[in-house]
Amino acid sequence: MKQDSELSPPQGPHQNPNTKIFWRFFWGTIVTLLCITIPLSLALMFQENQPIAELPITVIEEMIGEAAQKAKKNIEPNVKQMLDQIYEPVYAGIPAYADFHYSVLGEYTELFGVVFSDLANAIHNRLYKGFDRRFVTAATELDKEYAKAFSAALLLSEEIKTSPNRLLGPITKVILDDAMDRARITMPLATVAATVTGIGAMKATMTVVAKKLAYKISTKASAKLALKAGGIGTGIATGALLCAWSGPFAALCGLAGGAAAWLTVDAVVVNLDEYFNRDDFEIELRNIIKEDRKNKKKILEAALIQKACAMAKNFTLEELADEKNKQPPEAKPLCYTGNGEGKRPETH
Amino acid sequence: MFGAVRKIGLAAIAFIFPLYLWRELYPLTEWSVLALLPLAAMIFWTMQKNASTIYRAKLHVALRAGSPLSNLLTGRLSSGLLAFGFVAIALPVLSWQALSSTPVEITGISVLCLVAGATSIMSQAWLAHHLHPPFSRTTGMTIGAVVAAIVFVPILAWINWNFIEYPHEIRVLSLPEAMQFGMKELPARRGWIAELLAVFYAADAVKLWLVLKYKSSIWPMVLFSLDAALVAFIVAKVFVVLTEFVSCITQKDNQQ
Repeated sequence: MKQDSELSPPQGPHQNPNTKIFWRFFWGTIVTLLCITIPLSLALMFQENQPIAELPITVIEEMIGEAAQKAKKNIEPNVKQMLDQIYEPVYAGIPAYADFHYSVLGEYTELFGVVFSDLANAIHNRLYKGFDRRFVTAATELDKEYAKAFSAALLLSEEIKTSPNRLLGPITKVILDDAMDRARITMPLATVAATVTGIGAMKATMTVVAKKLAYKISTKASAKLALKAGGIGTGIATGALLCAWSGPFAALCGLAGGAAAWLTVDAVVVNLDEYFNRDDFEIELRNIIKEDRKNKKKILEAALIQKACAMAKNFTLEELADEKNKQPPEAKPLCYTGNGEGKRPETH
Repeated sequence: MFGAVRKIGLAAIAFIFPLYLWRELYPLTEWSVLALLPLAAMIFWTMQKNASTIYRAKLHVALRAGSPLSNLLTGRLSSGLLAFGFVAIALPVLSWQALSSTPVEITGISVLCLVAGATSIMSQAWLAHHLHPPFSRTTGMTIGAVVAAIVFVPILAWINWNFIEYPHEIRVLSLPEAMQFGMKELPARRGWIAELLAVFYAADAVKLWLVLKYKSSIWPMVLFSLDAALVAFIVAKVFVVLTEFVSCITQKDNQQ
């Protein structure tokens, strides 16, 4: 009985004021703690419906790999569209180039270009003007689209989609955010584009085009020589007849006559050539450009594949050491192909 | 020659089969640990037998005939403790390796086993001309394991350096996050086995994190590779012990 009275608060009006204060604080503390605990418990219950999940590394790697491939697939059609746009002015320049090609000035410019290896510049200036800038800008745009597509694909991954109420753990979040950042900066297509359209590379491309044209031009020039010989022979006969009575100006008259005969024959031959061959020339030029476009497409598609694979690429210590030495790692197959050689196996 | 090949072959089965079962079953159930019990028993029995034989041989020299101490100093306790200690270290390491090794690492470790077994048998045969049986056997085992391990540490380190891929994701994590990240490789169901193995995974993740942190120097990377290759000592020792186990069993069979 005594024990009971010691455990329970004293009853009645004759309570000690200190005891009163004690019980006030006692119950006050309990109520305060309840006020804190109950909302926290409720919050926890709510949290339990949205459990925090740290995804296993193998799952994250798979998610990143799949998102990278999906993004690549989504972007691939855009490459064709982009090339259509940037090659449009090149194709549009073909008639203008044909006009130039079938002019006396154009003929001599090309001929000098063949002899002095400057034809590539002529072609670049007339057909590919501004191409490098357009190409790099479009590739930069592709990079942005890829990063967007990657982020979208990552957030729509099966693992996240199947449990929309689940909160991702901080580590998973950090890794996914990093992956999204990497999608922007990993092997940018813009860099590939800049390399492909760099001064040296562009000159190489134009040289290829020029070589094909040079053969045609030199063949045409030799064929015209015979024609010119006949035309100039006629010119000489006419000139001799006309200049015979010009007296002291006979030499000047002969010079002018010769030049006129030469250029007239050129103009005639060029016009005849244009009449008969312009369509074929334009088709050939179009084919050369088409081939160049095909090569550029291949390069961009390969770069896109490399980019997608690099997103899911892990590292070896050798590559880490190479990174330290600022040397690019050796070209190795980049694509993640599941639980392959050298990859840590999945435990779950 | 055929006998040696047979011993190594049987030891390889005794070594690989339980670990393979464990590797395949652990992601599914905790009961997979049962697959390791025969391996543990084989190692324990052989280690205990060898240690107590050596102990008795030493005692034979040290103790006077008819001393009542011979009833007390049987060597059972010390050899049992030694064998238990080795099993307690080797089994978790082997189970962790079995779970985390890549095919290329498994190939390297398999070759190491064969070399360790062969070296051990050859050294035992050679030492038999110079030492008495229990010593020739145990010394031969030690030589086999140590020589094979010393040869294979640089090879495994090289494999680790060139072929083992580490997750890119660890680069962006802090140290505690890296530890958690490492432990995430274990099954979500956790359990006491996972808690035990978590130590290895976490330690590995921490080491890798440190390598990344100090990647400006090549030494952390080299040490990391060498450290990963140190498992060669345990693997070689276990395989040599299993070869000895097979020897004992086949000898008994032959005697019968």
